[in-house]
Amino acid sequence: MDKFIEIDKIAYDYNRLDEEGNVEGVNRALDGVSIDAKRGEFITILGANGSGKSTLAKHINALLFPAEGTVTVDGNNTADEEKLLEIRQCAGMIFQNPDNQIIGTIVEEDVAFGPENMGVESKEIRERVDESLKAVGMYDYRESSPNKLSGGQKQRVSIAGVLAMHPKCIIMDEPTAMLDPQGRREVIRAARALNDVEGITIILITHYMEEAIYSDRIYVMDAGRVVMEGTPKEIFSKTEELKSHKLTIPQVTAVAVALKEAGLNLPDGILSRKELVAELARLKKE
Amino acid sequence: MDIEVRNLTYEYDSGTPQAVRAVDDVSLTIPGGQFVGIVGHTGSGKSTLVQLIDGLLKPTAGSVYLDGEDIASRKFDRKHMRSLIGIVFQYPEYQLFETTILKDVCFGPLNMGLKQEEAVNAATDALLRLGIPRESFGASPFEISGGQKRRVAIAGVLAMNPKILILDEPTAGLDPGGREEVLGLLKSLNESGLTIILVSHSMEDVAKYVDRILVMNEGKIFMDGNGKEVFSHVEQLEEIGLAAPEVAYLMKAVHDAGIPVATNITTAEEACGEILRALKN
Repeated sequence: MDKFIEIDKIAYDYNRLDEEGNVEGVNRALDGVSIDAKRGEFITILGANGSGKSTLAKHINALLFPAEGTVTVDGNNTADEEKLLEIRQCAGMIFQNPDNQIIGTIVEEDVAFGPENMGVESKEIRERVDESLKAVGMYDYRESSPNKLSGGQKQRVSIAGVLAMHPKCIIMDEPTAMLDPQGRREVIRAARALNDVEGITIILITHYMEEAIYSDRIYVMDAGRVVMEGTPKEIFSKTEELKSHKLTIPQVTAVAVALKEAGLNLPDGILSRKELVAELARLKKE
Repeated sequence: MDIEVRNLTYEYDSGTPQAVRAVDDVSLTIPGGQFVGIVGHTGSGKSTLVQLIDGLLKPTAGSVYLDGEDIASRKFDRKHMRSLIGIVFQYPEYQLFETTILKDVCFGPLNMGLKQEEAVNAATDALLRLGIPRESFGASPFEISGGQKRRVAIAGVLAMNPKILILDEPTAGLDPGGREEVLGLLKSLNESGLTIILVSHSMEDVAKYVDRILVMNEGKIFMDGNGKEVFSHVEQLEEIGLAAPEVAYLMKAVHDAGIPVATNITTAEEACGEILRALKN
């Protein structure tokens, strides 16, 4: 299989500084982490605060470099300095706070910033901006000021800004943490559409279990290591193991698990409303 | 301590063409000891409303009364009020600054004029209530986990011994374990008599923990009731950019599939009991 992103046994240390700025010790944030993603895959990374998710994400577009191990993106090793520009254009990144990522005074100017910086021809910039805004459903707002947008809309503009650079992969680090329910839905819908329609590889980091159920595979991190890996069905069937890593299961799954414990004949790993309703309807007929 | 808000209005850029009415003629009463959740989409006026209640913003019109006293009145002791109402802003851990956890939490009480020893007592009490063990009091607040940092920051406000605690998105960015931890602690603080006002985007959290939900939209109170009442109006909530807890949607779908369950259900435990009941009949 074509491994688009391949992270092989990487380690990363943060230096602990004392008051004078001398190195006091090191904290190992990543400890022998290996993950991979195929081209066009939707991967979710779950893990408690401080488990190393964001540190890992920053390795994929070469914002950080591993102390040990290798990171390869689309065949390029991030240790190869000549390939850095290529890697960063190939893997775009979205962060938690949309307000920190928007710099333009008009939506379309903001989206044009990336391709302009890459030296794309102005006619093509125009096309890319329009395309990207359409892909996230923000084309109608192209002449608005970003200040007037809701959190979810701002975050979609940030995504359009990354899209306009024509990345093959987008890494989203808790893109919905600061959004209201509607905004959360908009952003996740946009991410799924980019994955389905444009075939862009998505790496989503989140604390909301509900957002993980549509991914192809999930990695769970704890204390700098990968502790679980599998499809959403496999991962969310292991309630106790997830709890031991300070995580939980989606609400629908929680209801299904409780019903099963109360004696109903239900399969493991029910994730969506539809699945549970279908199972209950079946039970009712019997 | 009761809060009463009467015809409260607040305009940003008042008197200019850009004037925006963030809070529009709001009246409500929050009796002492209640656990209130305020929900609403971004820009609905939630944060402005709590800042008016705390006296951080001066209303364009209307008044706020604490136990019947107008907080805008000259006789009103505003400094005292600051210690009666504690406010925890979004991402409060960004405001941690001291070299040890204990020193950081002492900052508020010392500023209020407490003696060193009293301040240490107040801080110790607050930290213990928030589940920070004594052994870690000497640690740097920058070397603990995100959930712990959040709790230390909340302890910093609690140490001033407020009667009312207002929190703006206290669980944003926390992992599920950390969220449960913080919300469970708020519930126990509320049970010990503290009034709690929780501004939140998480319908699941609000459904599970609060007594009363205020839904804000365009500066007005759009709905006011308990979880069951509010979340039975799914369509109206969606129209204003909100949603019901996932379980409410599930119960509606189960009902539509011909299983006669009640649909005013907001937590997973209730949902399980209700489905079992309906299937047995």
